[in-house]
Amino acid sequence: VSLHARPLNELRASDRAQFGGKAAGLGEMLALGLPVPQGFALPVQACNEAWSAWDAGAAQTLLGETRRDITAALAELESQTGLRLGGEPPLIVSVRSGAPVSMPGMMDTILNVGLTPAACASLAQRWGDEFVQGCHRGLTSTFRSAAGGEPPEAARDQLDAAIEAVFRSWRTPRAVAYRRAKGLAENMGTAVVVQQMVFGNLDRRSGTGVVFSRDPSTGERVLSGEFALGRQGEEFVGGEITPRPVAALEVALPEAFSELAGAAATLERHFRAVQDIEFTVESGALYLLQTRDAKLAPAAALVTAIDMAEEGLIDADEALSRLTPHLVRAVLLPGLPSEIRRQALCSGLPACPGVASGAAVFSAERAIELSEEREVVLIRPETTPADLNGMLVASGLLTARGGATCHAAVVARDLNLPCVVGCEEMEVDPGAGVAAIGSDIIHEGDEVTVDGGHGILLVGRHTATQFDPPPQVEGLRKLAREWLQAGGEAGHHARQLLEALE
Amino acid sequence: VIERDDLVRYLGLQPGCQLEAIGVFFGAPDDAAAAFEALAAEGMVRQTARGMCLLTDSGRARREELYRAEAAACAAGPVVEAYEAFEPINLAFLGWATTWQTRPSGEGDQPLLAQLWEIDAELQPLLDGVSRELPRFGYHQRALVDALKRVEAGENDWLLSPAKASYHTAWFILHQDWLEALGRERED
Repeated sequence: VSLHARPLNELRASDRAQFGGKAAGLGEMLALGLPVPQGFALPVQACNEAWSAWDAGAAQTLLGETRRDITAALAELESQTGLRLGGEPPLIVSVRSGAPVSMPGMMDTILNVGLTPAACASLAQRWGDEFVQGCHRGLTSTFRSAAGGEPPEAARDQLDAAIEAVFRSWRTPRAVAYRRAKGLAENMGTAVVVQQMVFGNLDRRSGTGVVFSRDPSTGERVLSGEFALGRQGEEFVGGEITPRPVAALEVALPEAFSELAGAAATLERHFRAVQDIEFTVESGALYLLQTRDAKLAPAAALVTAIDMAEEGLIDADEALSRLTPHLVRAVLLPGLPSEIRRQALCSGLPACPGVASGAAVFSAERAIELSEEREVVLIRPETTPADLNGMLVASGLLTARGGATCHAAVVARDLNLPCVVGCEEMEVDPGAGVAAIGSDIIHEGDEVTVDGGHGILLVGRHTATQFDPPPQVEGLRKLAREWLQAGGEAGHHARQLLEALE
Repeated sequence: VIERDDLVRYLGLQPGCQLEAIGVFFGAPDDAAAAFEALAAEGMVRQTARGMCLLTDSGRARREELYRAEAAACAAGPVVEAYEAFEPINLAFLGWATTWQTRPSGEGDQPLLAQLWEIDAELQPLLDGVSRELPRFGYHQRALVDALKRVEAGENDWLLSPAKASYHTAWFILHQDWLEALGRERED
């Protein structure tokens, strides 16, 4: 295994374990001939070696020997792009972490690295002061939140400090606690992706967005997602601006939109799964910044599996293996309309389908007490047998921790109680009687709704409606009947799916 | 006869239980209502419209006071020593439960159950010692034995079912009571 940085265009899906999913996905996109900004990635081993050397007292700085790797990779990137970091014309890059498994507490992104006073002056001549000042604010704000200080003056120092911040974030207490709870290896390490910046905030023909190759709620064969004109990606993900539906891109920049639709189709054919794609448009030119398999609502999982089998994108047995009896049942049950589901406050694993509303409570005792007056939804960090009686009186259940086989999920299925588990963005404090999802706080007594089929929590009371099942349900029935004869595991699975359709 | 303070502790471990469950746990079905009413008269407990039994604020205060005194009294001695011997057995049981849940259906149940009998055989003598210090642990012992009797009768639900007074449920309640008695927090 090479310890060394590699250009993104040399990476493939098979490099995922060493270079992380982000870099591997970018490499695959470049190989498909799609427009992706050039860059390089450092393998997880670089992070591990840096920490080993540091722990052994063998390195003066955490970055240590990695600096030589960066120098070599940077020289190659400069020759690929014809730009120079800290030189003329200036190379400006983003620095992102890329652990094989995403985890809370890890540094995410530092934007506009290399934006020195000289680079600012140079870019301002071409694109104006206002734009350059906006970029510099992007650098200082992302640098501060990731590295905890001001960016250094020299471009190379900025790059080194940003990469070191990624390494450092591997050991934040929150990331360490997360790995311990999940049983993830401490020496898994994080990769680093350094990539030429493209500017969604450059002019009125620029912007940034996220798009799904098919609708992740319904599975419908339309591009769906969001787009914001004149913005950089970080503002978007950070929720600082309200984006518009991606159809707005079709009106504003029709050429970029049609190129994006083509790229989405290419990626879908290549990965044989619905894709979740981040993109930026710079002065009308489209760039793809990330792609991954999309998380789909149960209906979308069913619809796309059957559609893709009909399109010949996947085999019939692959389509069936993507579906579970649990998921099929969730599609047929009454549910919340997709426009309501989009207002979800947080999401976790769907553990038992059904929709329930009630007053939020954070302990079994309070659930029992409050249930004398009104319906309650029990929200716990996780459940134990001491919570059982609270679960008996609750209309719905939600936990911050746990997987599909945790105590809460097992009991909820036993009781047929709408349940979502593993809402990891949520912190529950039963003592204080609150739950927090980022800056959103739920207090005891607040009306909430859980949708156990979709694994989401919403504020307020929402009513489920019975939908007409999508026509793909018939396609599934037909496929499953054909596979009944197959016998063995496949036949057994087909029978279970048919039973769920009853 | 159900001890007043034992009932206070039990209601902390199983908030919302029915009178019937109290009778089963204490092996005194006929005494449960009277014991509960006596505590209710003191304002320590109350029953919801659905018949669920709960501690009141003063019941909770009593419970904390009881455990605080117990933790001080047990600080160094046989209850702590037994708990240290319990920790590896607890891990063995949790590992066993995972193996049981993920076993291929119906295969090799008997050898696996034999492993559980061994785990239980290690646990019970430890609990004998604890019960000499804290007599209420005898109730936990009996809950474990009752669950295993059901399993021996072929009702495998009584191994792990979270909705029953299964072996796992009894184990959990015992573990929680023990931690509280030592003034410790659960480590997960």
